[in-house]
Amino acid sequence: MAWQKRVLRVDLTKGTCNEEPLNMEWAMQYLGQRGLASRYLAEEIDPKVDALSPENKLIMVTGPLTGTTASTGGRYSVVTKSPLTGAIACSNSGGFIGAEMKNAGWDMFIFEGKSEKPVYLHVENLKAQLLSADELWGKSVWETDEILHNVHQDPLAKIACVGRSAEQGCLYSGVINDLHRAAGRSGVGTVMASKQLKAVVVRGNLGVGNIENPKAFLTATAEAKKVLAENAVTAEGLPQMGTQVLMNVINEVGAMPTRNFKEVQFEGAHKISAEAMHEPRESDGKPNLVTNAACFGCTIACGRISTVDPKHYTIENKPEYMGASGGLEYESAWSLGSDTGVDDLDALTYANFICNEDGFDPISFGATVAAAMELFETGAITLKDTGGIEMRFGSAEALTKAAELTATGEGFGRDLGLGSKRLCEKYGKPELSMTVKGQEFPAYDPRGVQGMGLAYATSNRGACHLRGYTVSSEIMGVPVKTDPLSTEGKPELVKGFQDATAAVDSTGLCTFTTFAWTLEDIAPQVDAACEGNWTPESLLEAGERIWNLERKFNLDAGLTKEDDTLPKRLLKDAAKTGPAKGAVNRLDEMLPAYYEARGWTEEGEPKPDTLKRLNV
Amino acid sequence: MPEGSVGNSTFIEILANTSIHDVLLRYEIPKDTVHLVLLNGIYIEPEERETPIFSEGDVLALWPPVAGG
Repeated sequence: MAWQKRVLRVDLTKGTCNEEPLNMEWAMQYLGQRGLASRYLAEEIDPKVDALSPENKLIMVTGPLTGTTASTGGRYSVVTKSPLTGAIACSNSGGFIGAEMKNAGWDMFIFEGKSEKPVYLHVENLKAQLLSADELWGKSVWETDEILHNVHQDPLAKIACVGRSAEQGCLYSGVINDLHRAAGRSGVGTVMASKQLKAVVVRGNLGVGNIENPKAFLTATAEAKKVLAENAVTAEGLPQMGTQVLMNVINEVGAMPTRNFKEVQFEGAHKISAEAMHEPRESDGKPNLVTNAACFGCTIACGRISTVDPKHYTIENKPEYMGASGGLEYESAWSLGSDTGVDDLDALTYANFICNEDGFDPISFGATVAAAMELFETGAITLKDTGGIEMRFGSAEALTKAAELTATGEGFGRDLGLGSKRLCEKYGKPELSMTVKGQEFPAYDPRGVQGMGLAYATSNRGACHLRGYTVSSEIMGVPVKTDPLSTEGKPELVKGFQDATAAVDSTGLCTFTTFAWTLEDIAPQVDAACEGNWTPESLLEAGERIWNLERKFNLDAGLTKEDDTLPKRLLKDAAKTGPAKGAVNRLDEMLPAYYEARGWTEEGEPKPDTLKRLNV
Repeated sequence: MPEGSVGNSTFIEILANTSIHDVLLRYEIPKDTVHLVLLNGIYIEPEERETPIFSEGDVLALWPPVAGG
């Protein structure tokens, strides 16, 4: 059990909300969240549909442990076909709305069709209705959140919504919940806006029961919390320094993509690092970091709450940005910072606020700005194209102006909203786009971390670190240390990380637990909560099933082996400094062995036996 | 951090036959708190931390267990 066994189907074309039973046969194979919603999506849409057409569907989905007492059990995902990549998209978020959905009695909301006028979904336990969002359209995430809390006179309601960037068609807009948590990648918010769905408001107090063996569940979750509390990363490193602790580490190992991946080390890294976020500033003697923060049920609390320096140019006469809000994570600090060559911590924090305020992915945004800066510096675009902005590497002013324009889709912001791939194609320099399957890279240069090159090339949602985070092994030594500059054993390592992550992403738990937990710690929690026999092996098999289902969706959508690659810059232009000096990513050494390890043909297609073994 | 440090880095002088563990001892850094050890950005295995390893101008970086994403 642990599932509520209830799906809310919202037909936006007809304006109806209907309850239906959860498909438990699928739940037993795909758990929840990423896996289960991907199963529904693969069943219900033609993978070839236009992602922004009414024929696409958007699924908000919890996992069986969402809303329970398991540590980090507050996760939810948004699953759809991506307008950025044309592949399947699954974006995972924390905060509180996932647990609220579950507490309201639902496992999943499926949105289909397209509303004639802007609407939002209001859910109060089992009562669900679509209401007019005429007054909300054109408002930011932060304004929408405030208005909806006031309209419903319910400070405890949990809200997920899209900002103005999504309304304007920015292809990497996310769905923001609880003001600054995000189902951020692959343009899931753009799909939501295309359906004229502005927000989802949820209030639930039914509780999350249905635990199959409550006593065993309490024991298993308590044991697992002890593991987190005794692990130096989850008990000390992440709460104190956040993911930003990696800034100096990754720079030191020479895997820090810099200035649109032209270099692999950033001379300004220390100025935008976790350590810098703790340093008191001159103006008011306070550090950038105000406090850490936790999502629902989390005993790690890695979140960052920050302020911009009150004397910084970005917030002069803008009191709305003077308070504390979601601060820089490693990924956003990298994309907004070293990838653009900007080492102004406050400019990055401000740009990150804008990404949250209007709901667009800071990774894709920063990487697109970096591409625009290279286009500008090589003369492919001019001041005429940028509306007068000097888009030069290292310019904080260019970065923050670009953020403001992308938020509203004005001027050059409309070009930036295309993402790096389409922007570089538009201006005749496709080779300058640092993307896989149209999605921008995250913060690890695959010339310095070989396994990540394979993980990026084969990720089912385009370049992404969260689909197979071999950095954990290659750099941090978790669970075992491997050589980041070697390709040996990487195909199997990547497959293992991909399958395990797909399983964790389907439970309702946070993937950051896996710096301390293995599937040996997770399986007893799932097994106690859910019907069926859940072991580390069956979880890993579920993960492999999910991976193959996603792959099959992508192949049916028209993607091929040719899409499992990296930009030429990473395959041909050697790293200039650091331990990886002289190295390129040796994808060709890894990809064939990876296909074989997966039970796929040389063309990258799952063999019939593989699909049969996994019951895909 | 020792006196004279700038931010999280400092310059130190060591004898030719110094090991990484000798450096930890000198600054009273408990061995078990040091997880990630990089010499010029390259990971040094725990068993290599007892033997002399340094050359002139090397950069040693030390971290407790860290992770992120």
